Amino acid sequence: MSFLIYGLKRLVATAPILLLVLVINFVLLRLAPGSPLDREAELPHALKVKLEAQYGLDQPLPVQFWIFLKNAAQGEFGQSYTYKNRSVREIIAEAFPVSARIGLLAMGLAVVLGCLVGALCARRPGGPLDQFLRVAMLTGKSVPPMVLAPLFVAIFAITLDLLPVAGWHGGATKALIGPICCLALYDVAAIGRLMRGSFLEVQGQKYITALRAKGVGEKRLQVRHILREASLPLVSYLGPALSSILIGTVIVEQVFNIPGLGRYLVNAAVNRDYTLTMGITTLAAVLLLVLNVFSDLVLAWIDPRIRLT
Amino acid sequence: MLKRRLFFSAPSPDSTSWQDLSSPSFSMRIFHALKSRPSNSIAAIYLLVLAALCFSSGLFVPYAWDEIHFVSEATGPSWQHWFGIDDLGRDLFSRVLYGGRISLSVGLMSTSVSVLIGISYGAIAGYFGGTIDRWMMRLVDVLYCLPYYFVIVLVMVLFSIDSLYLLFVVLALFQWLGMARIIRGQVLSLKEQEFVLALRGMGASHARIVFRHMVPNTLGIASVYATLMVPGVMMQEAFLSFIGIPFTVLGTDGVHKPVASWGSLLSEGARYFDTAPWLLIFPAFFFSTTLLAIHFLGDGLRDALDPSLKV
Repeated sequence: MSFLIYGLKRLVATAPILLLVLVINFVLLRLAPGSPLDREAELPHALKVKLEAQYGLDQPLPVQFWIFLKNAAQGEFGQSYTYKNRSVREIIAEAFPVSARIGLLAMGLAVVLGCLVGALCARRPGGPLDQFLRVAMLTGKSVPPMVLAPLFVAIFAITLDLLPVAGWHGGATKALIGPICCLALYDVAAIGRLMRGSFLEVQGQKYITALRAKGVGEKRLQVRHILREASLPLVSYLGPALSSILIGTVIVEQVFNIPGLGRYLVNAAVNRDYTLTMGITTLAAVLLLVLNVFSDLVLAWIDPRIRLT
Repeated sequence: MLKRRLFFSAPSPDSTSWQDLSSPSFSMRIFHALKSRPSNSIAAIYLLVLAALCFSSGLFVPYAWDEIHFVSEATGPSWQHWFGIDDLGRDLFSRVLYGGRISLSVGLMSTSVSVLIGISYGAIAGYFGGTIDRWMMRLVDVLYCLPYYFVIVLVMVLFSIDSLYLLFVVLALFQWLGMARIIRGQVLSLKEQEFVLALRGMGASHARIVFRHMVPNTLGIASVYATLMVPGVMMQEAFLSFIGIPFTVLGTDGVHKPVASWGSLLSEGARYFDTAPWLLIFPAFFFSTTLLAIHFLGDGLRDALDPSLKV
């Protein structure tokens, strides 16, 4: 129960921050030169006035922001300027699940593999396996996705002909493998390094020795005691990392030609699509703030010594 | 607020932190750190040689990086063009070296700017403590909540920031937060030491204590995190190039012209990978090995200068 109350309190406390982020985005967008109604040929004056009235651009800025807030609270962001006859809500509802699916699966893979690699390294620090995996992890952090993805396509799709070259194919498993692997590599390396240090720190603590002396089985010790304590930094890492999947998938989406949300953001910003840009950035901000609160809750759940205040 | 465990938590005041081991000088310790492991010296030498080649490339490459040879298509490596030429007939060898100059500058300059901001901010917050500290750190917490990739993209796209020098600043503005937190933690423990009292007794001003005594004492840890920051900045540059933000410099003729950076070479290479793989392979090799070397160096420095994190 205290969790629920605490979570709600924290969410309420983040509301001003969210508001601030939205104001910053809104102001940035309006300060930028150009308008969504700019075309190569100047629009006739009457038409422009009519369009401005239709989109509410003739209102003073604070009023526009207030209208935006009222609509956003109901999950409504208005019509997109660039994609005709489509509302921002539709676009997000269509593209976000795609990005989220790839991002979540990649992160899941990265957590499993990263913990595994970290645990293997921590078994015998300085040993040959540890040395090898450390270099491998550093390499993994050094290869950018725009290198990895074309290489992956060339090897697994073109040479070996195992996977489709690109495309979404309605989310078929085969089409997902490539993007997920290319996306996960960096996080596997990052999480592996994090977990290695964390495992080593926890292993050396006295309560682990005490538990061993008490006769706790090795398996139980590893999972119930070491993994639990060692996963705290991972939870802190995952909050922000998960919220960045929206933008982190851009490169992979482009190489594998996947209809995710990433490409919309850049297009929308370039075309000054006010509504779509605000829709996507609002989603990102909400995601980040909620995940931060959530990861704090998980931390407190794992480690009761962390007090909820 | 909830006590958040950072995975790079600053050493607690009571632990033997690195600044107590003050016997050899700071630069000597860095030197020993590099010598102690062969991988570190190899990484350092590789980076130095590569940087020297990139920054002096104008002197010895046979073709200018933007010189166009009229060809019908991109061709692979040959004796004349070591790394091949791209679809516009530009020599890839010169472009890779020139691009390295740009990418290394972005990495180094953005990191320097953010280190400058982070150190001053963190040191001031930590030294004065109390209300000042609380508000300054609250601002950092708020900025941490910005979806910062989005904001970078927004700023870059909306204001058509294509100047390389502005890129340094924009990337730096989003990098200093972690550094400020680390330095603040350091200064919090440093200011409790007796030499600060002695300095106050001798009439040293706050500004003098902060910038002449606190800041130099945090440089060890700052250098570790600065090193680890460079690869991230270079990745961001590559990312921004990939999503289509072209960076330009002011040419001698007064015209802004797009530059080749490793990021832009990588994204061009990725586009033509099926027909001209060398366009990706050469830049990717240099980009990744450089990042790898910097990662190695950062790890080595951390082991040497920050025993609190040694495992």
